[in-house]
Amino acid sequence: MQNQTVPSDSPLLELRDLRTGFALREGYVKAVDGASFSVARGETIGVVGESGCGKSITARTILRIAGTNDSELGGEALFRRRTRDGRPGEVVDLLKLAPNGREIRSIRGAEIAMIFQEPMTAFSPVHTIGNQIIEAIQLHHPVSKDEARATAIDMLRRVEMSNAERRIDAYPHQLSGGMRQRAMIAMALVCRPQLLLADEPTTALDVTTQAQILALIRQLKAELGMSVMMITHDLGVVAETAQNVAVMYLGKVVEYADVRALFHDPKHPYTQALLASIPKLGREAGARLHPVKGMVPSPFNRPRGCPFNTRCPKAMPGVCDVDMPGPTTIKPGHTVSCFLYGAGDTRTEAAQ
Amino acid sequence: MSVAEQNAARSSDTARARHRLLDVRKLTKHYPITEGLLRREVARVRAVDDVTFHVDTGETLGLVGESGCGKTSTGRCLLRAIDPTSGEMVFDYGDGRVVDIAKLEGRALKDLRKDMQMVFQDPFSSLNPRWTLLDLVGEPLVAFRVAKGRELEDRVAELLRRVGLRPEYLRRYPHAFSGGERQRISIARALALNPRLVVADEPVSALDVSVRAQTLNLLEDLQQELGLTYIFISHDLSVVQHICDRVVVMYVGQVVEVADTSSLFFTPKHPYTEALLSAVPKPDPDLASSRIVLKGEVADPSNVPKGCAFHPRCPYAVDHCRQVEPKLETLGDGRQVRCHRAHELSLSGVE
Amino acid sequence: MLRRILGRGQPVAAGVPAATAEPTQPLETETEKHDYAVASEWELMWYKFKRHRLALICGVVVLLLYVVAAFVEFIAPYNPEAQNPAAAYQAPTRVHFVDAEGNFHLQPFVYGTTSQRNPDTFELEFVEDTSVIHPLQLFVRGDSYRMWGLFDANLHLFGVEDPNVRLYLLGADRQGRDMFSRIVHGTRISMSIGLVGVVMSFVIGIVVGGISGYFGGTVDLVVQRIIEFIRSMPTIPLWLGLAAALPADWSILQIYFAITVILSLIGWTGLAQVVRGRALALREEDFIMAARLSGTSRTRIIVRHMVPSFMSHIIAALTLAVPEMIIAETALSFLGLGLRYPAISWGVLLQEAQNLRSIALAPWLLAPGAMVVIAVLALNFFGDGLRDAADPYKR
Ligand SMILES: Nc1ncnc2c1ncn2[C@@H]1O[C@H](COP(=O)(O)OP(=O)(O)OP(=O)(O)O)[C@@H](O)[C@H]1O
Ligand SMILES: Nc1ncnc2c1ncn2[C@@H]1O[C@H](COP(=O)(O)OP(=O)(O)OP(=O)(O)O)[C@@H](O)[C@H]1O
Ligand code: SF4
Ligand SMILES: [Mg+2]
Ligand SMILES: [Mg+2]
Repeated sequence: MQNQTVPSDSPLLELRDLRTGFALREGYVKAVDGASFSVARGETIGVVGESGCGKSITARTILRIAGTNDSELGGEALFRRRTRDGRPGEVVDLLKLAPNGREIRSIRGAEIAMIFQEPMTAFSPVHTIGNQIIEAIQLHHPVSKDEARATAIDMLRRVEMSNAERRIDAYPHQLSGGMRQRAMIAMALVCRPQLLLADEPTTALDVTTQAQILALIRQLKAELGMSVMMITHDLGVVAETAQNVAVMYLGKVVEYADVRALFHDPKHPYTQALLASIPKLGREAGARLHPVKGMVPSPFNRPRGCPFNTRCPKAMPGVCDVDMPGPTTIKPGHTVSCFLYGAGDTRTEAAQ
Repeated sequence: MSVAEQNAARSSDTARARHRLLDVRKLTKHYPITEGLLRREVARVRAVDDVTFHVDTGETLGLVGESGCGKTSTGRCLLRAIDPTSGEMVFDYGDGRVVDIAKLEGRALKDLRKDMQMVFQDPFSSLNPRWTLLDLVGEPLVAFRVAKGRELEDRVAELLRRVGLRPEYLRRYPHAFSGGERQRISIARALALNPRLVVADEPVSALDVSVRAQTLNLLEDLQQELGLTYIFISHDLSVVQHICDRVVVMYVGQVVEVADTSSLFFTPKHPYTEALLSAVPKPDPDLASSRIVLKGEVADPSNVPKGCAFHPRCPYAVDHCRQVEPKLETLGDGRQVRCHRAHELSLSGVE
Repeated sequence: MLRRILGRGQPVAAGVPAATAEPTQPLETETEKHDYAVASEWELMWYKFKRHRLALICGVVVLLLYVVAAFVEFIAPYNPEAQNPAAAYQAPTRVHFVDAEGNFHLQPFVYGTTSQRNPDTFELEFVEDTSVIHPLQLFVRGDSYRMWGLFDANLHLFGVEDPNVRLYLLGADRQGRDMFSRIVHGTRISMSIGLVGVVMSFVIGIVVGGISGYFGGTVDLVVQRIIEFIRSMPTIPLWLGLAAALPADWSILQIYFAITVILSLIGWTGLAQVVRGRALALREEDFIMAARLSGTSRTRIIVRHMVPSFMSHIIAALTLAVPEMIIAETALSFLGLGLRYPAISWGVLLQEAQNLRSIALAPWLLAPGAMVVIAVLALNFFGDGLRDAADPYKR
């Protein structure tokens, strides 16, 4: 066990070349294909990418709930646990833990929590939200039911659920979409996790409700001092919430940068294309959009070489469609996997 | 009328000045909520409530609002996919024929289908998976006995090419296509009869970011080339600002504001429009998010608040708003707003 | 050409084909995935169904059973009614490859049997006469029959040339009739009663379920209550009651149809619910509305859109309904309330075997029971496979 000499800037979670694959009848799907980035304490990291690029699977792999039996994992996911008195504790590799063992279960929900796009998947329809939150508390803390209930009500108030004392006894279907999302956030945060994995928490919501929920997450993050991994396909949400951003394409993190660099000085052609293709609210609206050509390739049929080469306007024939570029550090905290900026920091990694 | 004559008649359309294509007056659609075996009505969902707007030829009219505010119901009433509870929808063919869509029956209603078509939100459920592209895109042509056999194939192939799909795909089934391509197939089908008005109900909401831009560009190009008129239903304000000429904002079944796009986005007149605009996450980390976060939730259309429907959430509400329902008023510059305080408030739009 | 189809609006620059959007990239590699792209619903179902090994095997079994049912007279070596008092309760004839001298024969053969009464027990005992070898042969001439009521024949799939030597593959019953031939003949009624019954329930089910699902609302509500009422009634007493009411002097054919009607009167509810569920789901599908907005007529929507979308589901549901009918018929006949002698069905055969003596002395008389189990299991697994494959478009 490591002791108190942990430097304060050491990351809470560090993913090193994370890989998750599924062997299906149709072929082998590399859902996550070498994702490396780290999440610092108190930071919000945005993970963006289009449908099927492996955002959700990355989060699920960290929690070890990605199709447990049929998935093949690789790389490392180093997570710094917290000691009983709340200080930084030992580092564990989440991928080495037994998928349903005691250790991962004591982390899941207590130290790393997750919220989903569709709250109905997190709640059982046959129990009241109160009972489900109370159960979540008692799973990790030896407290009486009344204490747990008091904590649950307090948490529901924090997520600005009006009438928390009454709503705690409601069934999930009796709440509106926004309220359900609040209840799910309450359940996720009730054990004060160090890391919140938010998988498209506002995609199914209206803009005004989305604004409420994003404000709520931001405020709770400050209050509880947790880190947030904000998974979304909406670049606007990322720009508003994240400090650092990982852009994913076909299971790979193609660019990682702080949010300003990413939006003002994107390096990877995919990031550039993505930013050019979204209509922006404001003065330049109405200007012609510049779409990325073609479509995302099927996961069973990924292109050889750089995953983006078939759609990339700057692809270099003979280079990009042959080898896979590795992550190249452009400046501290900004890495790109693209041959325009080099073949990768370490050739060995790129050769894989 | 032969195809040639029809086209001759139509090409004179463009020479003519823009005219009012569709005039919607006091359109209302209520869904009854029933109970028991006898289907006693216990309440009604006021999905569309006294909606008035118009569409001119060649323009794109946006219909925006949050989930459940009645956008889809409005769009479907316009096409008579569902029957409105009351109201008028006056459609001007431009050749002297003027009809009230709400009153059309039988043959006349079928004829309307040639001039009004729809593109659906869900690219998966809107195409019958058991049909080939030839059958799907050719469906309207067959239904109206416009073409068959070899000619049908040629026409469908042209339509496919027109929306950027390969004509060789004729014999394929929709399961072999991605969401964006399916949406193109839907568009091709909607264009088959050479309509004047296309109602597009969230046509890009289900698409990926990179494909969304392709589809928006396609819609714009088709409008340019064919002189189409669009009613573009969406909840995504940045898309609406991009593609629409004028915008109708709806809140629980009512029109709260109508204005041309730039006025609406830069100087909104209704507090709801302002809140909506400020709630949109902007893809620019430097835009400090000094946003108006509305309290509460969208009102329930089966239980609309008294007075102004928006008053429980409105940061500017005064007592008068809680008592009296505001009317849709026309301001000096032709804009319409449903708010008591529209004259005195100065609201902020997007930068 | 383009202009002719779509030529309204601003003139397109003359001669320049209006390439609106860059053609999307070819899906996959053009040739490799081409089959999939042009595969119809049934082909996709077949791809999916093939992956179910068990269902595939069971499908073959079901097919075989129906082939047998179609050609019973030819497949059965004897007339099922041919009696032979000397062979009462004769055990199954043993098929040999190795003769008494220990020589191996490639062609299977049997020995003739002689029966003699045991002086102590007075039971008939059968002794093989190992002096003459009677090879089993394909396509032998034997009992004559009338095939499908069309032509006379006496050819049988297999048998023994010598008419004095009887082949009892599954033993003989009390009157010395060949059980194997009787079971084969029973296949026809037992397997077909399921089919005919299902076709009838299908007609009732599709009409009622279709009405319920298409109109919805109050009609649906009433129909659903009726279905629930029928489903809540215990079926066996109901069958018994209805079957017991059949006049005793009816012919086999009349009873056969009466029984199928009784079975289908109760069996349609499940099918109606499948149809209704699909109709309700389909009403919500946008493509139905799109068809309407394209000007497609109501009849064409039903015939070209709705019915094909039902078809695969209904076929699966039908396949799963057949075994229920088979069991019901067997049960009724076994209880003596269904078909009766001289009709031959597996249930009738079991009913004839209904005494302790036969179970003790001639357990082979229970073979029809094994056939019921095989048929029902095969149909069930086959139906399960079909049901899983029925919606190849599921995302
Ligand atoms: N349990 C599973 N078994 C096999 N493949 C899976 C499984 N879950 C996901 N995949 C595949 O892994 C890839 C990545 O999926 P993932 O859900 O992470 O995408 P995503 O980026 O979250 O997309 P979305 O925006 O649609 O949620 C996809 O191609 C998907 O088909
Ligand atoms: N067939 C129906 N029966 C009863 N109520 C309905 C029906 N269809 C829609 N509604 C209700 O009418 C209201 C308006 O629905 P509509 O689908 O028009 O909204 P929308 O603006 O298109 O929303 P979304 O953005 O979610 O598509 C909603 O409250 C909805 O629940
Ligand atoms: S009428 Fe009153 S409550 Fe309604 S929007 Fe205007 S200010 Fe707000
Ligand atoms: Mg996901
Ligand atoms: Mg809608």
